[in-house]
Amino acid sequence: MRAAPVGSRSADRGASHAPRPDKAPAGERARWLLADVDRRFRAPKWLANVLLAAVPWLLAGMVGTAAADPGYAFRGIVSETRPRATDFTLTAHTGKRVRLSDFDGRLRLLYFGYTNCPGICPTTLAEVHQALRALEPRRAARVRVFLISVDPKRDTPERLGAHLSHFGPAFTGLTGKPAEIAAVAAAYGVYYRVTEGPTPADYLVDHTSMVVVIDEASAVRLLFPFGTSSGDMAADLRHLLP
Amino acid sequence: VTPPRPLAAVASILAACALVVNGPVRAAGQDTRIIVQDAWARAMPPVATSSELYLVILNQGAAADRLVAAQSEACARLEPYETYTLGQGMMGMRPIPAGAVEVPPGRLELKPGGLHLMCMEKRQDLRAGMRVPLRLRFRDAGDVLVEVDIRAR
Repeated sequence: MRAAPVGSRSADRGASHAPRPDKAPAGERARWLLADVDRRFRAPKWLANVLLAAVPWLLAGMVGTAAADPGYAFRGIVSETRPRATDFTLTAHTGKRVRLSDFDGRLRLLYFGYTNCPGICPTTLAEVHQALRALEPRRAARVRVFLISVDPKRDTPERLGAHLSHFGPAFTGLTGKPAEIAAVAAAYGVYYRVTEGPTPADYLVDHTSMVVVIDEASAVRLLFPFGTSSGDMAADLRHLLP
Repeated sequence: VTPPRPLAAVASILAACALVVNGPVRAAGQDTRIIVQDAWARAMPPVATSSELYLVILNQGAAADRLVAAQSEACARLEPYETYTLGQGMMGMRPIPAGAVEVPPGRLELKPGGLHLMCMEKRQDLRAGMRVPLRLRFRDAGDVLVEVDIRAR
């Protein structure tokens, strides 16, 4: 791992040039998230790979370097402006209404998916689960994972609970009224739409598949696009959990 | 001492090999141009109605073959699907018409986020440690039998 260029701006000074994230409207926050995600997905695959490999090098001098290790280059897509995570209230798999801010002081991972999702979601959740297992227990204990359903019609709290039962207490399933889900998804730049499945009852949901990383100070720090390995996730989380 | 019947001996050796190496189980005289290996699926909570199956197809022949059908007792229906990515990182998947999966000479990997087999209307829960028989039918090479290794997450 190469160190950041000498004399580069520190992460904090870099962030101070951005508009105050907590003052930015939700739509603004969604836009930069999209810009980050688009950078990864619109370019041809080889170019995306080259860019993805280059991104940490390019950004290392500007943002995203953990104070503990200024040479560290994040594997995930780094949020340049570190906006404050939009708060929301949804229904947990326990049936209880919970707010994101109930978990302030924890590092939070948000993933939008659904229980009938046959491949993309289980793959991502498995990588997240493995990443947590790879972390030292004292770090893993500071992380909470939220699966936010983009299929509130079928995903009842009970169903979410059954789906997440194998993952342990760090995982919380969240569902709600369709309008509630839509508002949360929009705030985080997540798109979804119902598409045809094998049978009408077994429809599928196309959705933005990425893990949003919110640090213990409630700033959005990273995105893990689909395909990010558990090892890369664990490495990045370790640097956000000194 | 009566020697074991040759057929039974061969069968038990084949079964032992299958258990040990997770390799393809081949019937005698089967076409060897196509080899299927590393077939696996992720163990899913019982609420999941469908599961994806992944595997590697090695086409050792000189010509392209075609996967025309897939069958397993664990799935009421088993069809090839492909994952696609739209803008905004939006991902989804769609079925591939029967017989449209071309298997060019070389290696074709069915994997998460790409081409895979969709096990629909599951007849049994896929629990970690299970091995589920899978029959793949190729246009030229005929049937290939494999066991799908169900892995914990």
